[in-house]
Amino acid sequence: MQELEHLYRAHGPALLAYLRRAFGWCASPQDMLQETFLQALHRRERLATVDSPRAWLFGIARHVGLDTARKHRPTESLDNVPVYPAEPDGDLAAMREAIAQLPPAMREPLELRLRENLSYEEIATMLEIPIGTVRSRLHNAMRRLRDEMGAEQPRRNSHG
Amino acid sequence: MDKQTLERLMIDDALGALPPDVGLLLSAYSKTVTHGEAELAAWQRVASGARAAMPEQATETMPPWPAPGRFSRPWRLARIGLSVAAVLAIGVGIGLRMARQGSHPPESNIAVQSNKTEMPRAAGVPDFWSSQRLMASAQQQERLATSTWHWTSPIAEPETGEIK
Repeated sequence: MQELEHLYRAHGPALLAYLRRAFGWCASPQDMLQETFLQALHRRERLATVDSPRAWLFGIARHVGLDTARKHRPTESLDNVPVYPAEPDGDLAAMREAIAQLPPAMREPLELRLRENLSYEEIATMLEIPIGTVRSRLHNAMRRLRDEMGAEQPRRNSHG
Repeated sequence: MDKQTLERLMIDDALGALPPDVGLLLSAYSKTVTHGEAELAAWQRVASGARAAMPEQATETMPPWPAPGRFSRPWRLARIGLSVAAVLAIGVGIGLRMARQGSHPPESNIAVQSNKTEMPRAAGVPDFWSSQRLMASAQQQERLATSTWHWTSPIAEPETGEIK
């Protein structure tokens, strides 16, 4: 119980931000956070075996969010394009547009890596996919972003 | 190192997934490769641009952690125990007070009914199981056996008489 309380204080804000960003359109993030920790409480014996409690909690939060979204609007896909506030900076706006255009399977791990600062292993635990899949999705996302941003690609030239 | 492997390492480095010492080695290696440095810088730009494009969330108010008693099973059991103890203490207290005052428990208003059924006694017979009673019963049986029934009317009670 104390360990969960410690985890709540350590990771609660990040989980709350994640729930608001990813599922805030369908329910109160605070409610989903409480549901996340209630489920964690019921499965607290697993806490001793997981490699990363943070990834474990993010995984529970993701399931809670997906369940809530499914109940809220069953016909709507979670592949919704995220809505970012208007940005006067052209490059930033273009990058946001490029991220929004990524397939969800690429965008989700990218956001978890760059925004939530989860490691590859933690993302794999959370999304319940092999770590190699995480890596390849991240690499593909980065290549797409680079292409979209029209960055120079000297990699096409030969290496020494 | 082949081209694909180098690119993967550069992307991992841009995403901050490489240990610092490996990142330093990669940086040093990229200088030895044609366009290596430019390539590394390009991936870094993509990653930093993507990071900047993900706006920070405002700090949100966290719901308070539930009070310890909400989940604690031992505390719940203790509360039940305390309730039982309180009831017992009140009962013992009332009992002691009544004993001190010398009062007795109130008598029950419900009358205890005897299971014994009062049997009608035959005239001149003192007891149901007495020899006189048995004798009187035998004489009555004998009288009935030697008597006849007479009905004077269908609505009148029959009369007994000696068998002729």
